[in-house]
Amino acid sequence: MNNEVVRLENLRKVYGSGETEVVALADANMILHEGEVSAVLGPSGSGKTTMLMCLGCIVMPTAGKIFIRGEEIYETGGWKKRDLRRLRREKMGFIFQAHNLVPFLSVLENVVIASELVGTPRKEAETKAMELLDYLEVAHRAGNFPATISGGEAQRVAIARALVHGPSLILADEPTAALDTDRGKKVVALLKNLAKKRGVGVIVVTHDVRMVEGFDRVYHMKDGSILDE
Amino acid sequence: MIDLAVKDISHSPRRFIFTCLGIGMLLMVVMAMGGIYRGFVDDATLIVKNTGADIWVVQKDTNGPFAEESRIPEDLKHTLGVLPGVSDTGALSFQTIQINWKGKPNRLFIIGYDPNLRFGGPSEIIAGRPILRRHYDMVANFKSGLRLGDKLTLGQDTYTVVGLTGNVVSPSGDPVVYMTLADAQKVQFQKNNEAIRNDRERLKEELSGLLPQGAGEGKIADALSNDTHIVNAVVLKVSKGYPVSKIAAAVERWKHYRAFTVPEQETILTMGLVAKAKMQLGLFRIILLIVSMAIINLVIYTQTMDKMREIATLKLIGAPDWTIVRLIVEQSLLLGFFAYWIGYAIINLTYKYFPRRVVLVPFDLKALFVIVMLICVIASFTGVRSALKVDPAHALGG
Ligand SMILES: Nc1ncnc2c1ncn2[C@@H]1O[C@H](COP(=O)(O)OP(=O)(O)O)[C@@H](O)[C@H]1O
Ligand SMILES: [Mg+2]
Repeated sequence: MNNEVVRLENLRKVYGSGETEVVALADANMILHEGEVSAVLGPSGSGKTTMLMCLGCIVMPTAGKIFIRGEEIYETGGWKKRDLRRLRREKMGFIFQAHNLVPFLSVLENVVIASELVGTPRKEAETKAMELLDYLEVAHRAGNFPATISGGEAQRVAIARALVHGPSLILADEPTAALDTDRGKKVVALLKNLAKKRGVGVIVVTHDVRMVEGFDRVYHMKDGSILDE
Repeated sequence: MIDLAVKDISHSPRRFIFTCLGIGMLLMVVMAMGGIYRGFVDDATLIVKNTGADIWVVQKDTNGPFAEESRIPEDLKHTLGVLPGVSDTGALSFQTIQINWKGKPNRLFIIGYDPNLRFGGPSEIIAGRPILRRHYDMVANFKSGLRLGDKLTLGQDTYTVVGLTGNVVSPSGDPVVYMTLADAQKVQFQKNNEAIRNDRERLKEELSGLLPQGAGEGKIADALSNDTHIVNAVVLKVSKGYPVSKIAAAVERWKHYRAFTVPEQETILTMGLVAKAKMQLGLFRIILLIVSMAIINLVIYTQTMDKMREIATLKLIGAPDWTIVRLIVEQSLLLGFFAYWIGYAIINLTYKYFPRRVVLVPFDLKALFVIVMLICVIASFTGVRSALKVDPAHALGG
């Protein structure tokens, strides 16, 4: 069990209360190992984003347990916003539906900043960022601003940003939603390869069946519950 | 760390630049008002400094010629001259006149002095010559609108501008024109013919009650009321080594006049004439600074709201609050910093052309800089607060 990156146990999230109560997550269970690339497939509104937000320590679950690298989040109640943010900063990488690159930073700077946030010196951060951009075939865009590159390129830059600081978990929320099938597949393939190479656990959530080829595991999600693979 | 504040501004600098220019101009006005106030103070005390006297003797129970009417006999200068420690004495007259000059009203401040004395007159002649003749010569402030050779008719006489002096102004800012004391007295009393006639009648009436019948009260009244040997102040110079304040006190005891030392005279001038201006200008400056703060606040807030998604993203990838606070506060400080230097540049290029003297005091400018920086920090609060409140989940919204 030592190489377990994430474990969810009976995770439940209820938004609102009374009349307006929405059960976004009913009973989610999942285990992810180091270097394992999993997909969560489910229709819109099934609770995928909510699950990622719970995992990413952005939303506090109503009930259930989250373990990250064996440590239970929220367990002792002493978890502060600051601690959660440090956990995200050091252990996690995020990839969004819209690339969410910072528009006033160049492609390179967008990647460098994630590395600098964990204390990497500028030079080293730049070298690491360039390596990744190179692998992802967007090195020639390093000096461009996000607005001037294509959606597929932007998503590859986002992958670099999510990986550059050496996280153990990458959470990707519909990373291909803004791309056509071919580009989407390419992005997912690159993500999988890099994660494998670096031993990073990846959870990709998507509603698009075409994107879930070649994952180690594919979970299905419906009405807030994770069904069997 | 990448400097997010600078990156953001340099990526889309338009709003920032325009705000800098706007705030810069407001700050320029703030600096100008400070400079005008300092100019008021300088102007108010300029004549006192320029005269070079150590003691001002004025009418008893008055605050002197710059505050109210002060009339004392001219020959007091001879009487006071015998006091030990008094090295020089002179009599001065002061009068504000308004003339019509080249179709425009022009206020001038006439100082009558004795050209034979080494003090009381213009401290420098920048063009032409000093007053040499007993009559009809004038030396004018070069900013008075009068030029060398200009002829000016006051009363029944015509005076010629023979020299120009520096920017000497009255305590209320009117350019100074120097004349001989005799000329100045003539101008002063010719303008008051009516008043003199009234004085004479009144004197005659009073004298007829006091003097025996047929003592010639008419003649005496004439003599008294035609006496133009009245001045507004007698000024003394004190020899080295004599205590000025002791001599001033001695004059007051001995002659029943009021005697001011230079600091006392300056205090009266700055308190009386400048105190209100100080309050008014101070109030305007505060209002302008508050307006600046409101604008900076609004711009920084808008700037921050426009970046909410990026801020949420930064939080989501784990950026500490400090990174976000710094981004916003730094932009606010940069705004204030550039605005300050824009204002500084403008005022330095323009202050010479202000109608009133603008005196830029380094201390005032430094203090303003500190205030502007503080204002920027305060102005960024609303932006910082909403940025800190935004939920990282906001970044995930499609
Ligand atoms: N902040 C929220 N407040 C209330 N309801 C929410 C909130 N976020 C999501 N929901 C609801 O929770 C359910 C699951 O949403 P979500 O996790 O976004 O699903 P998915 O990502 O699979 O589309 C939906 O019914 C959605 O309307
Ligand atoms: Mg979603």
